[in-house]
Amino acid sequence: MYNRKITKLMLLFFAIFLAAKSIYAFDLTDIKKRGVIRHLGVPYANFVTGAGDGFSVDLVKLFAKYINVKYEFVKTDWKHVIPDLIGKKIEVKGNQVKIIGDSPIKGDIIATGLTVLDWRKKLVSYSSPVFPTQIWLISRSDSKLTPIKPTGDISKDILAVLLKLRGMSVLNVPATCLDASLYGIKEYGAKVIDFNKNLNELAPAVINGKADATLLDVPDALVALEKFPGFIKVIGPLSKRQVMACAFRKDAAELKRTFEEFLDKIKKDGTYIKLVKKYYPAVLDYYPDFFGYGRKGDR
Amino acid sequence: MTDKNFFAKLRESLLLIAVSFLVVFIGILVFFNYRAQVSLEKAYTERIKSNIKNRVIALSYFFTERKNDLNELCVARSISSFFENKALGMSMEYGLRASLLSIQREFKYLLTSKKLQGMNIYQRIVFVDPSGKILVDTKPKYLHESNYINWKQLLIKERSEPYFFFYKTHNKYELFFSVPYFFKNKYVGQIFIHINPKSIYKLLSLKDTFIFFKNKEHTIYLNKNVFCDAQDFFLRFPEKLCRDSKFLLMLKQHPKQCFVIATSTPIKDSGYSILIMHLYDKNAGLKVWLYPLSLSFLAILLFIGLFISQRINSQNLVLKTKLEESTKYQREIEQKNIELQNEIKRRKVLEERLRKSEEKYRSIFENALVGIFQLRIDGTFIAVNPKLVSLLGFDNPEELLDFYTDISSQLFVDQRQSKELLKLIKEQNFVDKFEAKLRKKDGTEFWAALSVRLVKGEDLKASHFEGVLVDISDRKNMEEELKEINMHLQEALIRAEEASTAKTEFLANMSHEIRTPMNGIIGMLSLLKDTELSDEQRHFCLVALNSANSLLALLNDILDLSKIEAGKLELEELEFDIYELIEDSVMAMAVSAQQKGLELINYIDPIIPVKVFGDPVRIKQVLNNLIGNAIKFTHKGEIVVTTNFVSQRDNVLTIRIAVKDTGIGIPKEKHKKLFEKFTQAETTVARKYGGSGLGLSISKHLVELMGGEIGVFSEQGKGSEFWFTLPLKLPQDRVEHLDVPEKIKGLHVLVVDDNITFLKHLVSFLKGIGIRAQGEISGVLAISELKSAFLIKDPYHVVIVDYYLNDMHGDVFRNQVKSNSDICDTSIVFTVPYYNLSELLHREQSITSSNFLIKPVSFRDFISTITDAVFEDKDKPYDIDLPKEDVDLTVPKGIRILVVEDNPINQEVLKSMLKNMGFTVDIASTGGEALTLLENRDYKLVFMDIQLPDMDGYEVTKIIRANTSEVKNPKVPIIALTAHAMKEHQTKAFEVGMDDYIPKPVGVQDLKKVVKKWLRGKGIEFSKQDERRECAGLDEDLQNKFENLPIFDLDGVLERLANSKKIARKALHTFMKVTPSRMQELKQEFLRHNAQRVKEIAHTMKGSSATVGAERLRALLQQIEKAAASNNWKILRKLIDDLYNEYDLFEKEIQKGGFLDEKDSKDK
Repeated sequence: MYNRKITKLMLLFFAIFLAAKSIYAFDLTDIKKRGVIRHLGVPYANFVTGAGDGFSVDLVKLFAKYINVKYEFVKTDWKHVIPDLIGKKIEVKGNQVKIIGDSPIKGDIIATGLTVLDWRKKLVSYSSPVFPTQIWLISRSDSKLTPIKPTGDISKDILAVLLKLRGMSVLNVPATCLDASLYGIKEYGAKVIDFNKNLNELAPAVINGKADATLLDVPDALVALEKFPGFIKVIGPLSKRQVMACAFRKDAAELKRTFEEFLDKIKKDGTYIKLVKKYYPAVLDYYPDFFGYGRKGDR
Repeated sequence: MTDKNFFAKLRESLLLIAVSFLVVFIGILVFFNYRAQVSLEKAYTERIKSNIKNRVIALSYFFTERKNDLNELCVARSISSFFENKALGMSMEYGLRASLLSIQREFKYLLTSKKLQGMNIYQRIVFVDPSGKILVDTKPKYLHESNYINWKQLLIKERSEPYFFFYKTHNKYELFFSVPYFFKNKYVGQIFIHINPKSIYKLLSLKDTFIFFKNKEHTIYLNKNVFCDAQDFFLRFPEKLCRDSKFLLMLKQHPKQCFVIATSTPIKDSGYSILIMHLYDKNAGLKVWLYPLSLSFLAILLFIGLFISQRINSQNLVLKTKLEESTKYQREIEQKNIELQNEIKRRKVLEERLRKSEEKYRSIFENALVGIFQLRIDGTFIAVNPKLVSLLGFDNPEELLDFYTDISSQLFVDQRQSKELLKLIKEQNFVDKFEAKLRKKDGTEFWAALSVRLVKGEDLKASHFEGVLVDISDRKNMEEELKEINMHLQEALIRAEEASTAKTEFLANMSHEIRTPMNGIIGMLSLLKDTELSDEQRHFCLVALNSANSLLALLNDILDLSKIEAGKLELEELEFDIYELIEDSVMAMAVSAQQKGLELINYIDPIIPVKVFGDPVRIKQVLNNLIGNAIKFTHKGEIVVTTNFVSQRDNVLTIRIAVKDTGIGIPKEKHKKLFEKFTQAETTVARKYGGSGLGLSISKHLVELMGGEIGVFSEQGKGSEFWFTLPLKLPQDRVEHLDVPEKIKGLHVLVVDDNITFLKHLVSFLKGIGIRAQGEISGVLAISELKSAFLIKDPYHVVIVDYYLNDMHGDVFRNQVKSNSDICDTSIVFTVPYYNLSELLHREQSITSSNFLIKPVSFRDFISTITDAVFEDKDKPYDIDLPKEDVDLTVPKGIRILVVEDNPINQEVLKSMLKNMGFTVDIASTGGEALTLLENRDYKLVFMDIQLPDMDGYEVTKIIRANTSEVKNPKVPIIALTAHAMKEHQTKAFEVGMDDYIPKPVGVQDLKKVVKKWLRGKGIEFSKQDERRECAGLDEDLQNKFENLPIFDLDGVLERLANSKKIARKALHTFMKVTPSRMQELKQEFLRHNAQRVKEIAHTMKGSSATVGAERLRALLQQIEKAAASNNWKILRKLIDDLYNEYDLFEKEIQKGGFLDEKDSKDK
């Protein structure tokens, strides 16, 4: 009897040990053993350009070099980016999320201009903020919508934008930071239209008259302003300042910690700023405090 | 002793001469040497100046490049995007700041990319807004705030071009370039570029050189890498510099003075001059005085040496002279001996020659083939040669000499000839080839030619005669024979001419005999066509008419060819409008071409003058033949008629007209025979396409008669180009070109057409008349081009667009233009094929005269349409000839006027004008048709065009007026329609029997005057109006009541139709089915300026509107009827637009009531 108990205990410990091992199966050690880190990315603005470069691509490539492994890009989309990391199917409604099944794990790190949202926090472990962002409302240049006059108070500015939306059609991308339900747009009388194509096509869709306006985050809006000068205009903000960060599985603590070290290093040695200047030079001027600049002239 | 004195004197003279020469020689050497020194110094100076000049040029280029950089910045997209975004209302916080960063990137790129020998040219680039606030600044970190610049005071918006200036800080100057920036013509800021002075120093640096920039206020010195005040470094700076100045430059800090060469060059439009000074070494040249001294010393040494040698030589000279004298005498003697021997030899030679000469002449005398004689004055022979002996029938000379005692009576058959010969010899001393009949010994007579000379003795008295006698009997016989042959030839020539005349008369008679019944047939068929016929009858009539016209055309070709071959075709030389001629021909063929789906394109080089001299009828004949052939042998594609300038010399203009098609083409081996008569390219072609094969042969003859050439380029399956050149005289007094208003020159015009050939020619024509024109081949590209032009601040004023483009129709194009705020102000003119005009009118309801053109385009219409589209009221209707004189006509029914005119448009215009006056009008297109009509109807007046296809107007008039004329009224007034303004044409018109003339283009005013003049007293009343009918179409009472009228009066309808709803419904259905097409027809007639038809259609529609209770429609139509009657086009336009609106209201009213949908029930 005593022997049985010990055996059971040993089996239990063994099971726990096995379980623990499997928890750590996709953490840093395993990645080093495998010799490659898999980067989950969605072609989006200048984070993942689709041509093999981008802010996020360069960042993860540098991280791969830092931990001495090879780099592998795994293309995904907004609907599957988190399931591909955590191995679970999910259902998102507004700010609520539900796990509805299993799916294969395809990547080790998400770096793709992923905004930090509350529902995402429940599923992944975010790194320190990597990029500043905000949601702006964009319309065609000849639209009836006119840009707001900034008041200096972000809440007032957001309200001013919302009040203009009655009867207007607005594109949004569900289950992303561009989900209209996150900003109460419908409640202010706007007609929300779901857009399921590539986010890079939001601005062209508005230019071609698919809707009166669209939500865009600041990095994407800056890219669009440069690509389509004179065709679009920024009405104003729909959110307060947000941040983007890289995402890891909740059980990949070692990987995340190592990434934080890496991030700290490249911020100190100027590599990080060089990356920002390379892909988003304008954003330094919009959010200087995020990047540690006191005044404009210091850049 | 004497010799010695002589030699001494000689020596002295020589010495003197030698000294003089030496002095002169030395002087010349010195002079040339001095000149050489001066030239050397000059070359040195020139080298310095050349270096300076090169530097100045380099600096000018440098400045020009900086201005170009500024100009490029002005058109940079980043800057305009910023202002566009700002104009959209974007704020710095939300989006606008990104645009500023783009500008900054643009500036930074310029800063780093512009280098000179590895050094940055620019130090800083700043964009300042109108308040002086910096929007963008590339300021490098090392620049301190102590270098504060008050930008606001530097803003100058009045200057349109980049400029430079120096800005003074406390101890130095800074060089800036600047340009004001305008966004949508508003001043929104200024761009400043700070130049790195090191770059200018590197550009201009040259050893021993000082560089200054000078204006009225100050002089700035480029001291290595800094611009500073020249007064700080130099003393005594000159105010003005003369050309090639040299002066003393004194440095302040050092006691050094230096001579410099200075050159000053002004910098254009800046107020500054560049002053460059280069050190000048005065001692650089050689010392001028050394050389002359050296030369003089050398000369003295030479002189002494000469003197010594001269003394020695003079003694030797005396001895030599004596020796020479003795030698001389000996030689003389020898010479004389030689001469004597030569004389002897010469005499021997002469004797030998004399002997040989005598032998030769004796041989000639004895052996000559002609008779030679010497004759005494008394007529007896002295000597005769054997030939004369045999000619006269004697055996030996002695017998002959004894026989003749008096040749006058014995030798000459006719003594008068002998006397005549003698007389001639006495007068002239010589007679050559005198022909006389002589008698031989046996009495036989023969003809001889005598050449006789009178020989005079030493006393100059007549000594004897000498002569030659030749037997010419054979020749005389031949002459007789030739004379007879000539006589026969003359008779044959006369017979041939008579035959040719007979042939021509035959042709002329037959021409008249055949043409007369042909014209009768054509005339009758034309009249029949205009009567009430069934469809089948109309078809038969048209087939017969076409066949008769074809036969008549063939006959005309044959007659023309006969005339040409007989040399009887005479060309006219008249003044005519070449543009009108070519455009008329092209327009006349337009319908046939467009019916086959072919594009007919016309291009005339605008440098060709308008008025020329030539035979317009024949030129038109050639052109019509070539265009007709092109249409016949082309099944798809296009036909292009181009008229180009070739040359102009001595008041003769040569042009080249070409007709190019995309038809079946002609094999190369057939080209030679093309222009022969009765030749087609192949027999299969003749079978398939028909034709007599005479057209090209006639065209060739006509062109060659006019002094031109004709030819063809063609390949089977690849189309053909028939061309001909024409030399045309120009008027002596004034050469007139196309009238192009100055205000349209310089307009920016875009032409849009998917036919590249048409596009290319129209753009070329527009550029030729001074318009800036571009072309696009599709609507999409055109819209894009309009927008791009607007963005670069060079918008298009007019866009000329084909209504039927492949990628979009005209209405879609117009909507796209008008809905875009940037380009909505562009005027749009549509081009429409003539054939599609009515279909277009069916689609478009807002056509005006200034927004469409009919293809093929008339260039005068084209110019006036562009002018109207840009400068005139866009709603202006067609030009109206409102009568200046208030003359109105009351014309009783049945007054008939004949218009003889071949141009369809002119036919239409004249017919409309005359019908509006109330006349009945008939049209004849040829002289033959006119004669047939005049033979069958009584006309009160005839308008006769001079240029007709079969015969000219003069000829037709002669036939009408002839005693044998068969027309009903040979004295009918005939008015010439002529474009010829010259007196002789008018005189000719009167000479052939015309009564008056009216110049083309015909105006209503002129037409009414002529009608009044020639029809007064023939039942036509003329009355004056007290006031012009202004807005006469509007009945004021009716206008006031209009608004109260019902749109649809159902009760009124039922009352009129015996309360039968069924009938009323049927009437409404019919009304609504027919009315839209009637409204289109009304509009079409309005656009054709046909008031009479407008009135008739309005009248008809008024009646039917009343029947169906469309009261407001009825009232409107009544107003239209009245406005048409008084030719009030302005009101008509508005009324017709109202008509469409009113009909829409009526339709809606009917639908609303649901009357049409009710089911029929038994009517009460």
